Amino acid sequence: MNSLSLGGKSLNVAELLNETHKFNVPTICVTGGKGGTGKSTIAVNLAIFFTLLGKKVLLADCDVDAPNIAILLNVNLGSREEVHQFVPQFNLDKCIKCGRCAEVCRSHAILHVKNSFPIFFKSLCTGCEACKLVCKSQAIEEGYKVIGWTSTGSAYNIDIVSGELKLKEAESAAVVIAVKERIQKMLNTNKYDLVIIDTAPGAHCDVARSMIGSDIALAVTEPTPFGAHDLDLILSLAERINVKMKVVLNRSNLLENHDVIEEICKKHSTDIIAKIPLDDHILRSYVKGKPVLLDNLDSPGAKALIELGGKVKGVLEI
Amino acid sequence: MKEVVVVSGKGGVGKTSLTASLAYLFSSNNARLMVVDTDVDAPNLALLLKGEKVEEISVKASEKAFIDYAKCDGCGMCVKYCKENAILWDSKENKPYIFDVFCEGCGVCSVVCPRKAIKIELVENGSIVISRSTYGFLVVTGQLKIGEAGSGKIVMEVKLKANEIAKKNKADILLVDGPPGTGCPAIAAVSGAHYAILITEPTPAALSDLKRIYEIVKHFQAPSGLVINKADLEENFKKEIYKFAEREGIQILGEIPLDNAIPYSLAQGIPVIEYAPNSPASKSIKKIAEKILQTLLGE
Repeated sequence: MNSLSLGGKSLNVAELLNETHKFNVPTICVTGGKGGTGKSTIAVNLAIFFTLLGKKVLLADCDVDAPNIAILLNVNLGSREEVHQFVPQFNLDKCIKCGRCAEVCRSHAILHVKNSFPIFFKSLCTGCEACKLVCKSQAIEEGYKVIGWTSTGSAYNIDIVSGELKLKEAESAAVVIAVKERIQKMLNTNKYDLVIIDTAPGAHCDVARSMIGSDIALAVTEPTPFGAHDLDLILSLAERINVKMKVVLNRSNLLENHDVIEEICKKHSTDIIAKIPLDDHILRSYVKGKPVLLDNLDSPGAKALIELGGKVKGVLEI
Repeated sequence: MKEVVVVSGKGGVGKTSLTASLAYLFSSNNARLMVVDTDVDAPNLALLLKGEKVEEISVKASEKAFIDYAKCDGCGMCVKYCKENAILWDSKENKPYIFDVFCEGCGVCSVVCPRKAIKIELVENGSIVISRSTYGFLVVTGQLKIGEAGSGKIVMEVKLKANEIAKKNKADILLVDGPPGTGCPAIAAVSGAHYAILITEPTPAALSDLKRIYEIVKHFQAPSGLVINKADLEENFKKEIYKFAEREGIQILGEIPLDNAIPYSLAQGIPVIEYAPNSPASKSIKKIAEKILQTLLGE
C-alpha cells in the first residue's frame, strides 16, 4: 500500500498544481467556509475598490450552485456558453455485447446482462468517457448533455464572468472548470490588471478548484462559534492546497471578544487582515444592487472595505 | 415519522438558527425528535445544540486513483484523459502525480494506463457523528473531510443512519438541517423528505437562490412552507417574495423580524429561543413552530 500512497508528497503536488493553474495577472480569491458571511459582498466591493484606482478588474463567480455576483451588481449577463458533459451514444449496430463498457463504469450507469445490449442510465453517468475508451467495436460515440452555462457581462467598468449549474445536475466541478477556462479566454483577448474569484461556501473540492492558483485567498468569517468552526476548515483546506490565506472578520462588532478567531488564525499561522463592522449601509446597498463603495463612501462599512482593499493591494504589491 | 428538511439555496440566511430553535420548541412540545445536520461541508448545528459526542462512524464513500510507480513507465496517457485535471505531469521526473483533492475516482486513468499501474480504491471521505444535545434529543451530523468530493454521498449515508436510529427510537419528527446550494448535497438532503421548510430573506440574491432550491423541492414533490427571515429588511422587496410564494402556491409559515437577539444569540452559541425567549424573533419562531406541527401532525 505504501508504494501507492502519495501522502508525503501532497504538498509538492499542490505547489506544482498552483503553478499550472496560475493566471498571468494577480488573482484574489474570496471564500470563507460558512455560507452568508459576506463573500460576494466583499468580492464585489474589492472589485469596485480596484476599479476606482484605475485597475481593470475581471470578477468571476465560481459559486455555480447559487451565483449571486450579477444580482449584487444588478446586471444582466449575456454571451451564454453551454457547459457540456460527455454522454455515451450507443451504436447498437456495432455493439458486440461484450460488456466491457459496463465493467469499467464506476458510477454504475451502464448495466450489461450476458448476450444482450448494454442498458444506459443517463442520470448516473458522470461523463468520464471510460466506456468509450474501452469499447473494442467503436459502438460508443460521442454525445453530450448541457449541465450548465458560463456567461459574461459588465457593470461599473468591471467585467464579470459567471458560472451556473443546471438544476438537478450534479457535476458542479465541470462548471467551475469551465468558468476558469473562460477567465483564461478573456485574459487572452483583453487586458486585465486583476482577477477576483468568488467561491461557493464550504471546504469541498469545488472551493479548492476555485481557489487554486490564486495569489491570495481571503477567508470571510464572522465572530460567532459557527464562523470560527468553519474558518478552521477553510484554513486547513488552503494549507492543503498551498494557497496563502488571510482572514477578513465581517460583522466584527457582533461580539467584542475575537479571541476564538485569533486563536484559529494563530493555529494556521495567519492573521486578520481587516475587520468590517456590522453596518446597515452595507445591508441596504446589498438589497439595492449597488455596492456600498458607490452608494455611501462615508459609512463605517465602506471605510473598512477601503482599508481592506488597501491591505490586499499591499500584499499583492500592485 | 415525518422527515422535514430546512433549505434555502443561499447560505447564511438562517437555516441552522431556525432549525435549532424549532428543535428546541418541538422537543419541549413533547414531540419525539431527532435532528440531522446535512451541511456536511460546514456542520454547525451540533455546536448550537451543545451536542456531546456519543459515537463516530467513519464513512468511505469516495474513490481515488493510486499510481504504482514500480509499474508506471511515464507514458502520460492518464494525464491526457483525466477530465478533472487531477493528474499532473512532472516534467523533471517524467512522472504523473495524482492530486487527490481533485480526483473523483472515475477510473478513466486506470482504463487507459497500458501498464495497469493505476488502481482505484475506496477511501474515507467523511464521518457521521452522533451526539446527544443538551436538550435530550440526538443530533446526527455528517462531516465531509476537508477538500473531499462526494458530499452528496455523505448526505445519503447520514440520512440513512439517522432514519435507522429514528425508527428504532420511534421518533415522530426527523428534522434535517440542509446544506446551502442546489447541487448534489442539497438534492440528497431534500430527497425523501415529507415536508420542506424554505427559508429566505428579502434580498434579490436570496430570492434567486430560493427559486432554484424550490425547483428541487418540487421535483421531489415535497409539500413546503416558507419562512421569511429578516422580514423588515426591505419592505418593498418582501412583496416580490410574497408574489413568488403566491404564484407557486407555497404556504407562508411566517416572518421573523430583524432582531439583534438573533446575531447575539449566535455569537453566544445558544438558540435564540432559549437566549431571548421573549424577543420579537422568538415570538415569531414560536408561531412558525406551531404552524409546522399542525401541518405535520394534524391537530
